[in-house]
Amino acid sequence: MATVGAFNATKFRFLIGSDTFVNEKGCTLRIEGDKIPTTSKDSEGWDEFIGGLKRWSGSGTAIFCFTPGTGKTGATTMIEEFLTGDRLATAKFTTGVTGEKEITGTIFMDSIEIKAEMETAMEVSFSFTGSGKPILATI
Amino acid sequence: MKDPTLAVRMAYYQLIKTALPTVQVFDSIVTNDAPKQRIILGSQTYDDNSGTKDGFGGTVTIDIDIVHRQPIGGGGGKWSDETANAIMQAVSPSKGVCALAVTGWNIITAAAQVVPFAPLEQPTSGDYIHRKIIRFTHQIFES
Repeated sequence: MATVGAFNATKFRFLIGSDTFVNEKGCTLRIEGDKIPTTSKDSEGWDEFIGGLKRWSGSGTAIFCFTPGTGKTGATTMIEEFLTGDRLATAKFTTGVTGEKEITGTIFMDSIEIKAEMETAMEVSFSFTGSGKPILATI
Repeated sequence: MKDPTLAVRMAYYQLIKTALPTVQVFDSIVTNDAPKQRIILGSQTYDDNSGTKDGFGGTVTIDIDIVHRQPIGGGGGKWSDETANAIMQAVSPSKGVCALAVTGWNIITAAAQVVPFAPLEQPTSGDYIHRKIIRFTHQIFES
């Protein structure tokens, strides 16, 4: 059942294809757009704009693991994309709850960073840029 | 949420019994007829503070109480020291390695703090008790 009102961000996951990014600790989705100034002598002293190019991007952090398990993906998939792939993938931000909204689109992987500090759990962080228009749909 | 303390305690019992098979290991409470050299699985804490979106995780601690009761002149704290060293090596045989197998949980880190006590006199028997506590701290994640 779709959640009404605020909900815990733990439910909101980042997926590559249909696989959940394993051990995710947090993800960020950013949608932004340029603005083209159209201020003129007729603007009566107020800036005016029209919409320009739009873009979207995202990032995430997770506890690193080499073997994510069934239905999961992780840093290994991203590393393979950097080494042998085209760094393009379908990604999804979703709670997986029927009736709620999710955002899907093609991503271009920008970076992956693996941190291995002594006496801590290994962590991975990644970032990507959306390629083309993302789709907002009901699950 | 989940409480891993029983699984951690059982893992410590198995590990200590394997490393020191002749030493009796007690769970929290010691019987009156307990041997003079014994190990007690003591207080535990768990702070559910660092899981991921896939599972719970946090910091767990356990106190391993090493006790040696002996008469005056029966010796010093050598047995306690050797026992503490054996347990610490069994838990983490090399840097970055934890040999503890906790069912349902991944142990990520192992740290230890050794707390020595001055010998205590037992009023009824006149025996002295050498006691040493190792407080192990682990970062764990649900597996």
